Amino acid sequence: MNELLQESVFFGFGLSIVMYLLATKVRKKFDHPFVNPLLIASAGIIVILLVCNISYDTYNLGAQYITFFLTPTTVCLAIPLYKQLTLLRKHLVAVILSIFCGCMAHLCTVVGLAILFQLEETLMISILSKSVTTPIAIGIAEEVGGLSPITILGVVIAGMTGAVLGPSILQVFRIKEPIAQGLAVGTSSHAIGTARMIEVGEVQGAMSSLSIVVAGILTVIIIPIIVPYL
Amino acid sequence: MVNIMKYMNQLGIVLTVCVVAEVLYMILGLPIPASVYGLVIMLLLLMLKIVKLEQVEGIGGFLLGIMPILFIAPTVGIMETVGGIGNQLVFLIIIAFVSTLVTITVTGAVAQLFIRTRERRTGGKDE
Repeated sequence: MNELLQESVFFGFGLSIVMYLLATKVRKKFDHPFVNPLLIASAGIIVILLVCNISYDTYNLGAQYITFFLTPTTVCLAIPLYKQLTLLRKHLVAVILSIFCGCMAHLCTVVGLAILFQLEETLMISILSKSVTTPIAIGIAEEVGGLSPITILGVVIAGMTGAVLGPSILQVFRIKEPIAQGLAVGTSSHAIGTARMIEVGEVQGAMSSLSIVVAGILTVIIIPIIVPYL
Repeated sequence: MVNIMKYMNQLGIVLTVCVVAEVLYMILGLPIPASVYGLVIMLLLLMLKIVKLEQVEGIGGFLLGIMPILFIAPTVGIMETVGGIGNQLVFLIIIAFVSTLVTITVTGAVAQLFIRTRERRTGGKDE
């Protein structure tokens, strides 16, 4: 199979789109946070590649053209941020302070647990940026010498955890302010968590998308400064 | 046809920002991904009204709408790495899971404390 497809740039591209469309159909039938189209599509493609004995490189030959759009898409995150500028200005201190505390708490927990479990340093560095949105997380990981596939694994786990358990955790710790709820899930679980918060409420959704950007920028500044000291 | 040209114009603006961002990334040499420079540049352009919201809203909505598709290839890339890390994988997953719960709690608690303290000071009224 590898030899046949090695020259086809459309195979990986087409497979990704078709699998995503199928996954969104599954989502429509079973509407549950666990039923995440990205997760289903990716898992499906991995199974297809393994069963047909096709290498990741052959797949990525075409799929890389989709990944090309990550930078323009990240640039466009400025648009929702611009729309929510008044909300941001009004709660500026609460936003910056809580997201900063969240980022630092994340950093300390990852480093602390990594030392406890004697995790390899490269692996730990790879997941330091995992609570921010994928293009930023990968960018940071590559800058500080992490492995981007591990980062993505971390990003997906962070997103799914926040989307599925976020609302329950907020309830347990009596975090009832809608602004605080949005900031919490956006800071920890980026776009996947934000998709869930949009369902919870308008303010939660707005603050969560705001956190994607603010947490992303803060993490970009914090991680490269801290990594040399680890 | 008019619609397609409108989208091409919008894409042109976004890609121009990307190019400027990449040039900045190369010149400055800071450990900040080019995409973040681009995001900040786009936000400034919107705030300074150099670019109007309508000039990028269409393409922005399209790109943000297909965002999950862009992450498929990197996620599939997990299959290349997972085999190589073996038993460390379990720890990696536990760390990722626990640290996410801690981040939710800390961020939410700090934000709520701050908002409620301010409300008490202003007598329940905002501003």
